[in-house]
Amino acid sequence: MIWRLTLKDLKENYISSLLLLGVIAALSVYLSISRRLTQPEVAMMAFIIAGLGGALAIFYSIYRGFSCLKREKDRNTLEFLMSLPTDGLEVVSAKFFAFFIEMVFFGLILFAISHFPVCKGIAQKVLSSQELGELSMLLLYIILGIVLVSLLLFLVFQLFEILNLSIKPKGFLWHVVLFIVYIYFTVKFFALLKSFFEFLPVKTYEIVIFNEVAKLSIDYQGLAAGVLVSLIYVSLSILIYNKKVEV
Amino acid sequence: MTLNRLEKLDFDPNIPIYLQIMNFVKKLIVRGILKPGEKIPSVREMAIHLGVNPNTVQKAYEELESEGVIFTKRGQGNFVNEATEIVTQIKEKMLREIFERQKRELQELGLDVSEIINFLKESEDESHN
Amino acid sequence: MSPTIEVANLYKKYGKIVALANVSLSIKEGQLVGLCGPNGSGKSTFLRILTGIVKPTRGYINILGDRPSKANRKAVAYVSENDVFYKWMRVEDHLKFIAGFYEDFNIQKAFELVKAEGIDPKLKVGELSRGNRQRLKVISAVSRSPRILLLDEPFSGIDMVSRERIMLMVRDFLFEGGRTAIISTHFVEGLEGILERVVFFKEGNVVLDEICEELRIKYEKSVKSIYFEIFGGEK
Repeated sequence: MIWRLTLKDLKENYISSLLLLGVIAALSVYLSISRRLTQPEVAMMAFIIAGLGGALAIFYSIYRGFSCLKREKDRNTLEFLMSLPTDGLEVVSAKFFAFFIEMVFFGLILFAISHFPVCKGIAQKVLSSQELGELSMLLLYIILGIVLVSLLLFLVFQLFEILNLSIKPKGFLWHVVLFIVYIYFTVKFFALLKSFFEFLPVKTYEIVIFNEVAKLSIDYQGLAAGVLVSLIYVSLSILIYNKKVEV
Repeated sequence: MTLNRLEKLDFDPNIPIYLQIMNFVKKLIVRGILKPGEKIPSVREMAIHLGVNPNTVQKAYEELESEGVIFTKRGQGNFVNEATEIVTQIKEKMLREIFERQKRELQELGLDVSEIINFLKESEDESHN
Repeated sequence: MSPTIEVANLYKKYGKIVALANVSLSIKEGQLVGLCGPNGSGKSTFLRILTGIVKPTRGYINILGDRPSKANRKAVAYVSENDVFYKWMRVEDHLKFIAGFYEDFNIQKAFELVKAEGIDPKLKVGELSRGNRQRLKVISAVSRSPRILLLDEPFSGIDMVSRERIMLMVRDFLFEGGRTAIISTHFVEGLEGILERVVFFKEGNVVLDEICEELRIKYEKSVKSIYFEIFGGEK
């Protein structure tokens, strides 16, 4: 049944995901065409596109995480879902799985957009094969990072939305206060968990030709902390949904 | 006994429905649509046909059985009492009930029995002509 | 035998508003119960608590031997008065979606009913008329074999033809036997013969709870006339 719910969520949301990709693709094409590509700027293009994708993805995942139940409620389908023989575990997980699948595709396509047209085609003429290889790896890391951050943000804001739904409406001001407290707590909590994983390595990735921009550290500590936060937040979401959310 | 040939019952929701169902069945017997010994529609068939809760039909059938109008053969269903006198008996009883009611109504209007009889004779002659 | 549905001292408060105040009922298996009362009297809240969509503030509920739960909902069919559809789904997709949740969902029967009602299964739910959407809701419920059917105003706000068709579907379904049902409705006339028992709600309280035939035997009153008596209006 989770799978059925996941499929339903995918069908509902794939259009907005495609729209996001469309925006990025359009912007990428525009940028590629408008700039006169010289040697260092060629590879820079890839990072600009990836960065663009990242920025949009972050806003998108916050929006998706925060509105997943609200949209159901608005359309009376939350009531429908709750009347089915399903529970918070399936509903909450399905929303995440649907978003996860979307993000995987998003990541792959973003990688393709940023990687091939600009880099492969033109960069092949100006960069050495080793530099090209490093460029690809770096892009991969960046996009992987974007996907993981998006997933985490989705879960963080999904829990926030569920909290909002379970608290009796007290007015806009209270929700703002709740938001500030929640974000502060989440950041502190993440930092705390990160410090627990100090024994895990910090891997820094550098690419020689781009001194200022291309220093990326993949933090295994951050990754572990992120996974743990995700698990805790999902469990809380499921718990609160089952106990407190009603139509 | 196919239900399609049976008419529907336009029941009055203010009066116990099970009584109306009982009268309905009795009328069918009096009119010869249901014959002595014949199988009557099952509770469920009757319920669907009349649009009435099966429990109400069940109660009606039980009352009919206690009155001796129908009987149940286990595993086979409900049947009209095989005795042919049953038809005459029900007919008489229904006739009596109907006439008692009408007589009371007409008497409320101030008509006495002999006036009623004359009127009946006249209307009968008229319909023959 | 223990009752199929049992509630005691059920109380539900939304903020300051009391939706249900001390409702106690016991419904045995196979009983067809009508739920009547003005809007806001707590009928919908009551049905939603039975389904598990709404949690009571306090009180005792027992359905099929347990509190409302995920397992219970497999044997309970709730038809809401709201438009509870994913309007972007096609009718056939909607039926297949539901079929995935219930093992006893007879998808063939569902498609036959849809066809019999003249609904094109390829249409999106959002493209259907209100009457057809209501029919689809009921079809989704009667294509299963639930032990309990909870209908919330199934006949309201739709054209007469749809109303009759839905009445027939519900009736045929309930008369199959082994079904317990609570039907919340204003349309009492159509249900006079079908209902075995009627419960009247007023401002969250039960003001009358009687077997329909008893009302007729004792007072020579139909459910409809009792409705008018209790809730005002000319007799």
